[in-house]
Amino acid sequence: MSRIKNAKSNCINGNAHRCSIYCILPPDMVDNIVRNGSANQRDWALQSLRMSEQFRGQRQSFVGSTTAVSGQKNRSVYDLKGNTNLPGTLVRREGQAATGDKSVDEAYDGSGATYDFYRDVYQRNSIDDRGLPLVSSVHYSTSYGNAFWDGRQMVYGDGDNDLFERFTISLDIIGHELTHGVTQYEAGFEYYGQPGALNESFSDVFGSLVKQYALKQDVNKADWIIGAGLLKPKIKGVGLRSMKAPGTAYNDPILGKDIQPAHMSNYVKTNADNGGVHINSGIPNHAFYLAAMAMGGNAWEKAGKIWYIALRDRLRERSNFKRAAAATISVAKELFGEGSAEQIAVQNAWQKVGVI
Amino acid sequence: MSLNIFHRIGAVTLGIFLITFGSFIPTGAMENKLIKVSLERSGGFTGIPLTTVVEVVNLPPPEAEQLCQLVEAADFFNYPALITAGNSLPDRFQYQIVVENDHQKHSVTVGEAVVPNKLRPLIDFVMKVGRRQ
Repeated sequence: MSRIKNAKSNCINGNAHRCSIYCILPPDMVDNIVRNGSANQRDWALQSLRMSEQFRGQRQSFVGSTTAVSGQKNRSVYDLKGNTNLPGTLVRREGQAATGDKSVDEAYDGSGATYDFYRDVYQRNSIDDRGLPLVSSVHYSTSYGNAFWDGRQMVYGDGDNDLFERFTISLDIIGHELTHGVTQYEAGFEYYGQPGALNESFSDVFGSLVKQYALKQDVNKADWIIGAGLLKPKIKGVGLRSMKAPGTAYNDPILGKDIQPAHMSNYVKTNADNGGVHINSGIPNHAFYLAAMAMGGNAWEKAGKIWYIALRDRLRERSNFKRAAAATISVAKELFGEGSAEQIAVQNAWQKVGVI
Repeated sequence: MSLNIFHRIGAVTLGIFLITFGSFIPTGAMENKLIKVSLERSGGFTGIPLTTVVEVVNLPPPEAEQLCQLVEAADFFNYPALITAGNSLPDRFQYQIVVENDHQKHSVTVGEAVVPNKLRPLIDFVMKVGRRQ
């Protein structure tokens, strides 16, 4: 206390890896245990895979065997009641009835819709492709205007009185957060600069696709907005980000103006926001939009599949925009043929945003 | 002659100035009178930045005192310029706090998940005052 008192006179008056045993196992050995081991061994090996940094970027050898792991949706939602000590109190488990708490029920339904999307469209067995249980915690902190994936689970704030509604309100937000989990287990983009902006963009792309798939919207019906419904009614804006027209989602006296670029010529160099990961994601977001629009139909069927395979098999921690362009063009060629309309659509999209 | 008049006016002005403000003029060699604290919060799922500048001179005395105490209790000038989690933590906030006194200016950039306990009250206070402004 006395130190603090002294501080007063000084400044007012001017007088004065984690690394467990699992880390040493070669990934191939762990894969074999997952495939061939007993139930206990498999649980142990899966745990080790989740914990190991080596797991990132080494999925290809295992891709063919993912269907051998039986998939079962396993959701749980916890209530933090304004605290921040995760996960909180368990309030709804898989199969239980709605609670009446909007945040709890939206987190439950949204994580289910995201699970269904990845399973039905890309035959993916949950976030890690190994049946990871989906854990959500709601009512995080007080007046917390944010949602995040903490490496193991989703966390949602209630928003605040002035700007934002609760962060479970929009299905694409839930899809966005869970896709951060998918990215963590796949490309593992580092969270800075262009790889960080790709991390954000893939979350926006699949967040939007989760919503489009749930609503059965084709490319023309989709709103291509991230966070529709999140802004309070008095805020001037349609959401947080527009994949169709980056930089136009909101323009409000309190919130400011959306500054996302749609073209490399407007790439924002900054140290804030981990090198502008939520800003420059507008460029690859718009590339996906352009590719999907050129292909038509349901965006998750062709453009989404190309982006998903690139994320799963071709892109790595330090991949930049050019690498993402090359990877998606290459995957489009492999899936649909050299010179196919799909390959040309992807190539044109990256050209239009100035990446190639 | 006119020069003498100006000298005399100057001396009187200086005298009044000293009487009025003398007690506020630093006398020691190591003063660190707090001037302002700036805070920029970036990132988060929304990606919408929030910037706040709190100038001590504009605060009511009790809050000015509290701000000074929080800067001192945080031991702010001894933090490194960058404090990160060391791995990717998507959609967490990033804070840049700049504290300026009459002798030095120091900037600390810190990820939300790794804010030191001693620094948290300063961030919360500046956010609260900023929201009111």
